[in-house]
Amino acid sequence: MESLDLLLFGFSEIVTIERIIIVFLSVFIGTMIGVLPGLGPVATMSLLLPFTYNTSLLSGMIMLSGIYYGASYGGSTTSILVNIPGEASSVVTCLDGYQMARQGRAGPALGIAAIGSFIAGTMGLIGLMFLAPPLASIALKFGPPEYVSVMCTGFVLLTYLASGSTIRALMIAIVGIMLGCAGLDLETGLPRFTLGITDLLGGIEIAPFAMGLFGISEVLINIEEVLKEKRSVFSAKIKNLLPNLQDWHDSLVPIIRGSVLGFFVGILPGGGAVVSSFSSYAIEKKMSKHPERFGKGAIEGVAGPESANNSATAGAFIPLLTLGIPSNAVMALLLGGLMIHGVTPGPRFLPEHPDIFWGLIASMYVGNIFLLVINLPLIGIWVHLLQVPYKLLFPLILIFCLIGCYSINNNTFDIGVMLFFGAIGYLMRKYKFEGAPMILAFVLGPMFETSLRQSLLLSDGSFLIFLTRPIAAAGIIVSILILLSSVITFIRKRKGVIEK
Amino acid sequence: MKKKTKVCLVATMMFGICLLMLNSTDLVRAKDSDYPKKSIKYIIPFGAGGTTDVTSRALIKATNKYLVEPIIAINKPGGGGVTPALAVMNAKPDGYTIGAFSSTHSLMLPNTDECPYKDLSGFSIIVRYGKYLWPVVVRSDSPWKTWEELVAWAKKNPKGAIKLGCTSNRARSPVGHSIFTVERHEDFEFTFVAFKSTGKVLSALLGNHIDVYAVSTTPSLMEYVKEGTLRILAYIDVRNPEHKHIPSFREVYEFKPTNFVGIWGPKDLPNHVLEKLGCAFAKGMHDPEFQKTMDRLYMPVSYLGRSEFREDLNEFFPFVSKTMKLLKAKAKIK
Amino acid sequence: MKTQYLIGTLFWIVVAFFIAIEAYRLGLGHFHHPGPGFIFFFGALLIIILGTIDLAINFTIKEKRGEIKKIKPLWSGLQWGKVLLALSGLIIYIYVLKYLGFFLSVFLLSVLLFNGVGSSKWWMGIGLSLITSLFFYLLFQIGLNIPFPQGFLNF
Repeated sequence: MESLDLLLFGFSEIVTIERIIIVFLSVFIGTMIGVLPGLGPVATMSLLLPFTYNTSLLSGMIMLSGIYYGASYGGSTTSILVNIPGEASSVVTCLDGYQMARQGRAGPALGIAAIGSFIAGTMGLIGLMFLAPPLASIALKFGPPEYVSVMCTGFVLLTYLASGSTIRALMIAIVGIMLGCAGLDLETGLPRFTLGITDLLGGIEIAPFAMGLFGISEVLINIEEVLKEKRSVFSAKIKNLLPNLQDWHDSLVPIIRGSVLGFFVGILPGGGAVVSSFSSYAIEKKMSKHPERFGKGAIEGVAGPESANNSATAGAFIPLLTLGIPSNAVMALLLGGLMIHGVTPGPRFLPEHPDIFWGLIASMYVGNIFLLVINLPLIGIWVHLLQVPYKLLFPLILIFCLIGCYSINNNTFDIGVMLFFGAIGYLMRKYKFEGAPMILAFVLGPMFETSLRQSLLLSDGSFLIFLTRPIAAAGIIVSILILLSSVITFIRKRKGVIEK
Repeated sequence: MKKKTKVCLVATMMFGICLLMLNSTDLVRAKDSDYPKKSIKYIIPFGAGGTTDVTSRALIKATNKYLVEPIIAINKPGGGGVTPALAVMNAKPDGYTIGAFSSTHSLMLPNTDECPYKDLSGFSIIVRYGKYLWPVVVRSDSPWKTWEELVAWAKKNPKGAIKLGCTSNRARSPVGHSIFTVERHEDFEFTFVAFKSTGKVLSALLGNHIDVYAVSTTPSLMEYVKEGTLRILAYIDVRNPEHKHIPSFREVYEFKPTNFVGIWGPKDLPNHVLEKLGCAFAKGMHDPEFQKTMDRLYMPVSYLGRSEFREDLNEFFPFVSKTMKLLKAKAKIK
Repeated sequence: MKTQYLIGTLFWIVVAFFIAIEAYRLGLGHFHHPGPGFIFFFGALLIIILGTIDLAINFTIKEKRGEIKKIKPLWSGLQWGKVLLALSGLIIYIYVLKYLGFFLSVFLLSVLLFNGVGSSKWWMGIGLSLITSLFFYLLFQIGLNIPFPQGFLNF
């Protein structure tokens, strides 16, 4: 098949000592960056961007993209170990991954995350190889009305994230929507709920918000509950370092589902990895025979989302490489890097520069393997790190977060945001409100609102636009169906309880 | 664990102290008393990878050859542009903090309610290095082959029938102001649809969700034009030199769009700092590699020294204020 | 016991009222052309409705079947004082960062956290703080080249 020939050609491009070393170093650095909370791949990539001036284009691209997908491997590490999402797409991993760590099962969690990410990354690459051009033209069909329907589906899935009261989850989700929409209004330019603070004009940044809501609040709760009673946060017994057979059995299908889902959702610009990881979690929970296990350390809750967010990184390359349109800040940086070398991604990129495209894909295969090789042995080190007494561990965690948070924008205000939501998160947990629905709504809400208002401008105020356009209509019908199904399940449960 | 850990801890401490010592000896090195004595911070008000970012970095790289200590770029987007502007304005006027800026930061923002500065008195202008390319683009399968055809069509059809995509609220964007001027001249209206980034506007145009694109050039845009998928109807200000036949609004409607990207610093920068920086940047702009990068990013190199630049800005200011008042009034009436 | 949790719901209802007022001021637009305050206003309305339902459910259904477990005391008997101390330390760090510079701020904060909150022995706290500050300084400022604010001591 032609694609396989081209892939071999790609491999031939990268099989030089120099390039293999670059792949290894960049994924290694990427993993470390991912582990450091807050400091995302964008900051590091912009630091290294000047180095790419002096190397060949392919080497530069390999280096930058290695950091990117390496970081998504590393991001799950802190989510599992200390409940701090390394980036927004790792938030979901906190839900069950951290619980597994507390039960002494950090090893299996990290292992499944790494292996699931590897499988997903590989599947995503296969998708990239064969499906890139047709998918790109489908992605273009997604305009504002289609985004509205995608967001609707996301909102409906949101209720699956909650382990407790659904009503409370909805309430806090609405608060999340409003927090996400705070800032300068796109259409009118009016500041909304910025409290007169200029730093808020751009809205609340997701990284400090997530780090505070999940990470800092967890530390605060532990300070309160654990230090006094000299309990340890993490179970002293480490059950095993790698996933056992049962774990494999439970995780296989979620990994495959997550990979496929993540890849397709990741193609959509804006929130691809975040939305895909949340959707995967919700779908796994819905499909599970024992949904009540989720939130308490179900390995499917780690396998699915981690795979989804990794294949989403592969999907995110598609709009850039086939259309020349970056779908997130990382891709925008890669675009800059390509431009510096005089190569413009766009419709003529694939035909004119097959060496770059296929070389890049080949390097990603190699990179994925390196990542697996790097991450698996590290699991032992991470797990033992957790054995340090908590009263010595927590200052390190807090300072880590402070520094990581500052490094996002070189702005102390972000640290303030993180602490504020740390306090809010702490109070929310005491008063039984959950953080996961809030964060998902925080991401989906502004996209939903923007797309809704754009759609109504485009349709001159008519709501029919959502029904006359096929993809949009399909999305809305899917959301209604999912909603109906959960209502029916709810009614059945109540009937069952009453009949008892 | 205890013994090993202790040894590791002590070792790290010693290693660290050595490094600190190495670092501080740097500071003690004998230097001449000229500026710059340490690295200069350059604040880029946009995210990494964008046109302003890449061109600024290219300029910095070229300029660093003419300075004793390097300029280092930092990205500080946020607050709709207010945060990076304030970071420059509030810095110590010692010449070690400067930044890039566009018309948004210097003209539009001071006219909004929530911006803490209301004019340019808090800034020292250093130099202008480029102008943006602002094309008005449609798909090649659209019914309008020239700008005149579009205007004629718009006048015959209800107000706002043509959907134009842009990247921010009309009042805050220089493109928005220019289009508004044109709309008033020709007496018709677009429906302005704001998107979060140029990439999104481009995909909306390609996917046939909007009719017209009017934002800064993204490099991929030119690829689509070359390939024939998209058509440029007009340029708002400067043209791509390959497109001599395409009208420019500046010429047709005889007004000066507020189009520039420049470098500024906090007010009261000492003269020798301004001289040194201005000189170094001017030399950097002649660097062939810098010019090549600007070419690739479709940004014309456009030098203007600090006094003429400030004059320009002072000229623009009342025009922008007036336009913003008109736009605000219009928005309220809806 | 449950009433303690209901304070949370009441809190959000009250917040929602204020949001609704501000949203109205921003401008609701109308359904065919939502204004900037639209989503805030209706969101706030929804919160009030849902919150009322939540309160109603919890007040009327006395003991939900099987949930007659002992509920942990919210505030008494736990060390929320330590939490406050930690939080205050972190907040002070933000303000002090510009003046004292990165290294010193981190060092002081670590001492507070290790000794004040964590109750480690004084020499252990100071020693660990020194190493932590050093380690982070090296890692971030020198290794990763992230420009941290330099205080009056200039490092």
